[in-house]
Amino acid sequence: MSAEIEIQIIAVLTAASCAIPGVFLVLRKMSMVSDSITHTILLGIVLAFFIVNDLSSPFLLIGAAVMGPVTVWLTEMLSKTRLLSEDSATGMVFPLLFSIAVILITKYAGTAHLDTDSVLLGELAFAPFDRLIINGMDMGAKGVYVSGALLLINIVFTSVFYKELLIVSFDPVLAAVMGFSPAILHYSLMTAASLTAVGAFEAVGSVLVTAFMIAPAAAAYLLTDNLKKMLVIAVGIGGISGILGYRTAVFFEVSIAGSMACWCGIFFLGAFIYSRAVKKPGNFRLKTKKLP
Amino acid sequence: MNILSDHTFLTVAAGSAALGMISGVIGSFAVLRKQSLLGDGVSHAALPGVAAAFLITGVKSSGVLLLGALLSGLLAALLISVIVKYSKVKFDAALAAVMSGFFGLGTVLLTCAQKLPNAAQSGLSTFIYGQASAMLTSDVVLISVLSAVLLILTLLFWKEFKLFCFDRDFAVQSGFSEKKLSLLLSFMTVVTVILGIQTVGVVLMSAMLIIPAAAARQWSDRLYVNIMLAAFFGGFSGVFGALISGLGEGAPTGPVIVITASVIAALSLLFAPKRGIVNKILQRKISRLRLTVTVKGGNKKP
Amino acid sequence: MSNTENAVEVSSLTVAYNSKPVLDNVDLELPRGMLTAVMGPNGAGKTTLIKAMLGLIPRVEGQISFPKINGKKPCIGYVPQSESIDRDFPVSVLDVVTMGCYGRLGWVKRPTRDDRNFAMAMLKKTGMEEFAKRQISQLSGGQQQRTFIARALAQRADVYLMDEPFKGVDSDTEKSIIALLKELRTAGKTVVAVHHDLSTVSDYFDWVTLINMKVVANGEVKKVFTDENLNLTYRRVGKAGAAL
Repeated sequence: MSAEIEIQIIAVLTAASCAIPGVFLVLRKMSMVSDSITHTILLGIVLAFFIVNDLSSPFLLIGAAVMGPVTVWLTEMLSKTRLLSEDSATGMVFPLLFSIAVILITKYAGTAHLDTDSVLLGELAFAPFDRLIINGMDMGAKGVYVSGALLLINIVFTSVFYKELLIVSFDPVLAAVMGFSPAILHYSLMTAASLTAVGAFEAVGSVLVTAFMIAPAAAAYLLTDNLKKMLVIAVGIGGISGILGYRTAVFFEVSIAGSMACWCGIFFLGAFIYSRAVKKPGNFRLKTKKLP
Repeated sequence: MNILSDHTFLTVAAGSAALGMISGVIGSFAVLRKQSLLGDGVSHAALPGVAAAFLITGVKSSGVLLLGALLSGLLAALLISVIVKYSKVKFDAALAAVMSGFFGLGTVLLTCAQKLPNAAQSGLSTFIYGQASAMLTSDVVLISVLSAVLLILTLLFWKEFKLFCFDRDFAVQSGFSEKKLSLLLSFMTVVTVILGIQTVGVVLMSAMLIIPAAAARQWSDRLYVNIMLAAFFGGFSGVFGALISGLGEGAPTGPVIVITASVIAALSLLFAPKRGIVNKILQRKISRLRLTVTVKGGNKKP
Repeated sequence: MSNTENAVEVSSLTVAYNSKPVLDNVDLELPRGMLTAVMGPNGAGKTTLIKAMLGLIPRVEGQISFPKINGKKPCIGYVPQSESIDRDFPVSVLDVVTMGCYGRLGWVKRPTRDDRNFAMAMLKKTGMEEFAKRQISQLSGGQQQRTFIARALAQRADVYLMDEPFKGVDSDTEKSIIALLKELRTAGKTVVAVHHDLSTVSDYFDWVTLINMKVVANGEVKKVFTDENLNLTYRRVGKAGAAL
């Protein structure tokens, strides 16, 4: 399989696995959590590295994945004090954790200079610690397996717990009354999102994870009134963005990750314009107080 | 200490202080409007503007790039408002989608720019992490002038902002144009963010808008006290951060400033009178005692 | 010793937000098979009481229990306030009502066709069957309310807790809702509803609980819904049980 095709496969699989938790993040008004998690992943990696002192240890990935729920938990603890709004709590937690990570890296991780391009744009996330990822074909193959596994995990999780995710997202009070612990489902979702972000992060960097998670889901939100369709459309838009992004990047010789993120944004804007132009009753409502 | 008389340090400290102060002030309004993360979004969205400015003009001067950043940031902020107003998409989703799309565009343009002959390799790092240590006197002047302008605007529109942030519907009914006020506040936020990116970088700019403001909020319920405290906390964090970073070897300024601000916030959250957590725990213990006394002494039904 | 004649038993319930008491030493017994109105001024703790009954908020002290029916724990149905619902959520009316079955299904099991048919039957009961496929933002306030009542019916609850079921609802819908509630009562179910309209209490409800941080009165509407009690409830705002 040529490298080109493998990259596109990884892109599609990654986009698809991001879109699924992304749909629930959008519905639960937690879109910026994706941004938050992708930044705090770095701290997870750093701390794990300090414990095992081995760049190729899978422990690093676990450390990264654990940071997601930890970040969310810290944010919620903070906002539960009701001294801060939820968005303020988010905006305090992740920069703090990120700052700590950056300082730890520059002070203690030897070759100080953090390869920022890779952190944000992927492919070389572990560069500051020396190259972990094998380049060329091997990375391609590894990426395919990683993204494929992530997609599988997300599909299984969402199918098995579909009704639980639905009820916890729509009416957490009823869910609690019925005995579905909103907390368990919430943190499971965060763990799934976190794992996905970590896996995707390695390939495409932090910004793109946010783009893949939120933009296609938000576009789908505008295009349909049905949750199942929303999931399918989000996955579809993500996949197409991946392919188109890669093709245009190669053609114009520009950043692949950036191009993919761009396409996600374009589809989102397109969905917005479409929903306004068509004015379907379900998709279009003025932001005035609706009288019964 | 030697460092305190070092010209570079003083420049950096002065710039950081000014930035910290204005972030605190403008951030207070953003936090009140529950748009804290707008800073995060706008700072990411500024990238295409910076890259485009360079591509179009071929010039790498601070002013030109900042202008590009400003336009780009404003465009993003406007787009987000429009999307939130005219569709069912909520603010957080619009923010995340627009910001990541813009940033993607920015990296695309940047890779275009890097192919040009006179593009130096400073690329993303500077933009993402800030380069406080490279601050020039001219930068400090720019920051100070713009901060002063923003402060004057804040004073001029004080009552409008106060009302608008607290109770938007009432402000509209009182005759103030929602569009204009919203636009003005967003504009001021974008300017602040763009200014701040130079010092603390993209990722941490949201922190500077939120943390001093959140810390200040714990000490008072009155807006003008909040604003002044936020300015103080922000400014202090800036100076202190610059100091620590300057003294240590290699610790980048941005993160140190953020950590300083976070410590102040943590202390505020814990120890502020009335709202502080420690205080609340004490209060709860006292009121439990009080309630128990009332229950025991009050009318128990037979 | 819990009395199975009661649907809900509350004892010494105290709830506080930020060390300010919202419910102060509330003792209540609500009888089974009756329509109960919970009333009081704004901030008096009515919604808090319902939330406490649902087990959603921490208590400073006190207990809430739902005595068993024929040895089994009763199922609690819940109809939320209309403002608390996200109307843009991509679910249809039928989807919402089917959620009522989820508690019975437990984890992982999917709703079956029988469950969906049952949900449709509940929609028919509330006159909403033609709206089954509509997304919920396309409903009027009254239609939304009826959807959530259908959902509570689908829960096959024994005790229904409702938060302002008549708010924002037109008079036809109001009449059909109260008819439904009376049917529930005939079937031996208990309804506890936060209510705001003083003029309809005597027509709609059998039992009333007047609350203003403390219980002002709790009993049959005939006996307890007096001017004197209403004065006590609605004029004494803010002072926690000062004159009681």
